[in-house]
Amino acid sequence: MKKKSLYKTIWRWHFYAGILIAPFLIILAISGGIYLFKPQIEAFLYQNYYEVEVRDEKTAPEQQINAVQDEYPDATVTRYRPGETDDRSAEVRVNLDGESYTIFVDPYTNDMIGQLNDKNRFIDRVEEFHGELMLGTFGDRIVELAACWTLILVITGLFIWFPRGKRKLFGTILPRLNKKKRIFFRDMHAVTGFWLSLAIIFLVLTGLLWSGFWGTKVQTLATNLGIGYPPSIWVGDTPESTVQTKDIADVPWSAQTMPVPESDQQQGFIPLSMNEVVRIADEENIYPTYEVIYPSSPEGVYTLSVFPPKAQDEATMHIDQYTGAILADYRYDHYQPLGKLMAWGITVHKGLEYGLANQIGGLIVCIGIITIVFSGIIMWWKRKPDKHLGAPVAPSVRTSRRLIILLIVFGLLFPLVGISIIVVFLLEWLIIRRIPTLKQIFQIEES
Amino acid sequence: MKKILLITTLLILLVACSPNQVNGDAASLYKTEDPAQISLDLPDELTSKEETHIEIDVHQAVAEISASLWKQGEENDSVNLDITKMENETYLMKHTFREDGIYYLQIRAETSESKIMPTKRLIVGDLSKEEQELLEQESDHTDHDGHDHSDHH
Repeated sequence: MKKKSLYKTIWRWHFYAGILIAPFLIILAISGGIYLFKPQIEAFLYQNYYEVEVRDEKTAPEQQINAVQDEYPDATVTRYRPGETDDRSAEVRVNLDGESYTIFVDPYTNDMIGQLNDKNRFIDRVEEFHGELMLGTFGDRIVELAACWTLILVITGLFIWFPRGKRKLFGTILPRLNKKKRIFFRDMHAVTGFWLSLAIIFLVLTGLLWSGFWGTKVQTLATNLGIGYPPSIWVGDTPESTVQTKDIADVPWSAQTMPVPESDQQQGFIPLSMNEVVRIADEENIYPTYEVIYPSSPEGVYTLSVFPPKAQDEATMHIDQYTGAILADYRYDHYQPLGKLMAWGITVHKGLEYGLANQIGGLIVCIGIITIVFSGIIMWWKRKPDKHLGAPVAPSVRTSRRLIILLIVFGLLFPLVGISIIVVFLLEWLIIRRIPTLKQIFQIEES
Repeated sequence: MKKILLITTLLILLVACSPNQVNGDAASLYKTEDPAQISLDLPDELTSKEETHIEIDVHQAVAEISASLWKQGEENDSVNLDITKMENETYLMKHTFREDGIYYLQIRAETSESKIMPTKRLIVGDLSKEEQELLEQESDHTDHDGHDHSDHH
């Protein structure tokens, strides 16, 4: 393939991918831009729930939880968060009528400060929109697909941007602001894109770690190879209690997710109280914003979990619910190299790792992405003829061996992209080529 | 051309369909713990006013061990029990329960790697009506929750 036609082919791909992915990029940039400020937004929204008047001494965790159970006799307790400072309320998460509520408790008086239905948490809904467009697994796959195609957009975009011939400062790394409108939008698109390309690739790759398909695969692979997170943090099972079932007493299951066998065994080991679990957490220097997740079965464990702003403070600890033995104690230091890198990438992606500077940096990238998308659409709109989409006419990618190999490698690294490319080829071959109107709209050349 | 597409399709499907299963022994590639375990050996039926022997086995070299016992509702009046080390690395406690009832026995043991504090509920002799009801209430609560949960599915 000649240089000129290679350029046009890549431009054509950039064009179609851009039009398809543009709406998702806007959604991701806006929801992400809001989510970046989660700490400030939640501190503002729930200020009355978070703050308590400091008194002499806090009551025992078990007393706080009992107070909640007295107030909500039909609820089952699933989590407890002691509160990191003297003036911070404790949180008890309960399941009530099939819904999850957070009950805020004054740890000095055991008074209920307020309750929050978790499905009404603004930031959680923003996160759901960001991660799966509020469409569950289907939405998750769409977001993942959009993210992978964004990588293609950045790479093809950089190829198109790459200066050919005489190198000029303006129009390459600085925008030309005093030229025609068309030039202005071109520079808004290409120059902004160049500057943000690394940041966008970073956000896509770290964001993909959350994705249900690619993310789960990468996490599983990394954990299995011993180079990622230890099991149970992202993927993999938690350890089980070392106590044999026959030695366990039949006790009420505060966090029950399965029916208890009708054993009626009165004598036996009983689960640790929350007071002991909290004491262990303090002894083991777990970052104070941790929460305790109740065991979900008689064989289950108490899990201490904390993901603070800085990745280095992360901890996941599993405690035998009967003996109190620490079965697993995973801190950031125990992550293997790729796990550490992913943990750091995730906190930077969320705008947490480096405080306000991190948040502002993230916001700039979000605004930049919106700028790139709109300037791209405007450029197209201004150029678009009536009869067809106005894509650059170019030879098919199939005429370049190198591009095919690139696509295959990319399709293997990101299987969803591979599948979508196959679908596009099939669509073109089976439908678009056979219907003259579509052929005209998409400007398919005879090959 | 068609061959390449076919091979690609098959390869992609192969990667896409590989199992998302974390190996059972993956945890051994990361930091591991050596948690102390415990078994208590005591008669199936406990009676009061009669010396009861309780044997403790921690399955590991023990640095420190203690035991406390209290009756249901008398948490603040717990007594510490004497523990003697036996030849085979197990520990023996002897205790005579003053009266029938529900008791709680807590063992605290420390090994070089691990600390445990299990509590075992003991039923001594015949329970009074109130005590029986107390235990049944707990069971009822359990059942109730179980049914409650399944209703939502």
